[in-house]
Amino acid sequence: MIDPAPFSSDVLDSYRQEAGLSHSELWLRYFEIGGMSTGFELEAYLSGALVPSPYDRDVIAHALNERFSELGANRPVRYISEVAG
Amino acid sequence: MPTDPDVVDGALGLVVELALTSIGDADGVSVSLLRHGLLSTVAASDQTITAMDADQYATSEGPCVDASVKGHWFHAESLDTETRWPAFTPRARALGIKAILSSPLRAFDQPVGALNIYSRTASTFKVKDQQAAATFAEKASVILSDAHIDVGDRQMAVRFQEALRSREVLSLAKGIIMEREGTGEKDAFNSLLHNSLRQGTTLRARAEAVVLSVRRSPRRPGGDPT
Repeated sequence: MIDPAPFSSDVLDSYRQEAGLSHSELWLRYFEIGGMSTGFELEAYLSGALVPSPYDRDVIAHALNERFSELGANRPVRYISEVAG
Repeated sequence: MPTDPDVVDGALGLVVELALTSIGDADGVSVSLLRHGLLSTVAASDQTITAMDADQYATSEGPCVDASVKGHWFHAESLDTETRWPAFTPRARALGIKAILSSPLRAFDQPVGALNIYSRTASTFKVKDQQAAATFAEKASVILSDAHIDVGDRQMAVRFQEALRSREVLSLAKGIIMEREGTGEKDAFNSLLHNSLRQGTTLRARAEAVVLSVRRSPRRPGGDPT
């Protein structure tokens, strides 16, 4: 089934919940791989109050996907650069 | 039961170290905290910086005091022309400090201290430095908030230390790719990301491979991992 809105914030937040990550743990993982937004901004991206840049969106996607890999799942979160490329 | 203050101070010391190495032209960094109603310096990169904070506590003014009490950031772009803190500013200038950037620390949304960045160069802190300072201050705030809830837990400090190491390796790898391929930072990140996905490795493992490739063979033409 094709996801109608693969980049919307509620999709990201549902992946966060599915991955069992708290907001602060996701922020730490995002920071670890080069994210520069604050925890408050990251929460705003997930709630839809702010729109992340394509770069930030991909860093968040990758932080989530690395978590899913740890859990033995395929990486379900799509990247903007992948779609664009 | 609160977290051992030594663990919290150790984690804040890491924030100070990373801010010092990450922010261009920063000559010193400190963290001030309100404890028992008084501001004190709990982590500082050197004695001059500790003295600089102490001068602010003694005069009850300065960007560090204001950020700690008012809960928003203060930027003294050039102390030669600064008028907001007349008692403190001459003391700072006497120690050779020309610019200060103080970002508030919060625990449970209350201001509890400040992350202070000092430079001997006036007008040196740019928007990206302010953003980086805000990120470090945010991290320190998380440590402080968690310290009240999550007790005696050294995991946070250890986990954060690990995250800082990964981030440094990644930065180094991006720099190597940027130099090698003449690309920008985001392209370098995408290059690392796509290669890590293709090879099924973590981003950190890919970044480590890039860094190691340079250490093993500094002048090898082509064929290096990206």
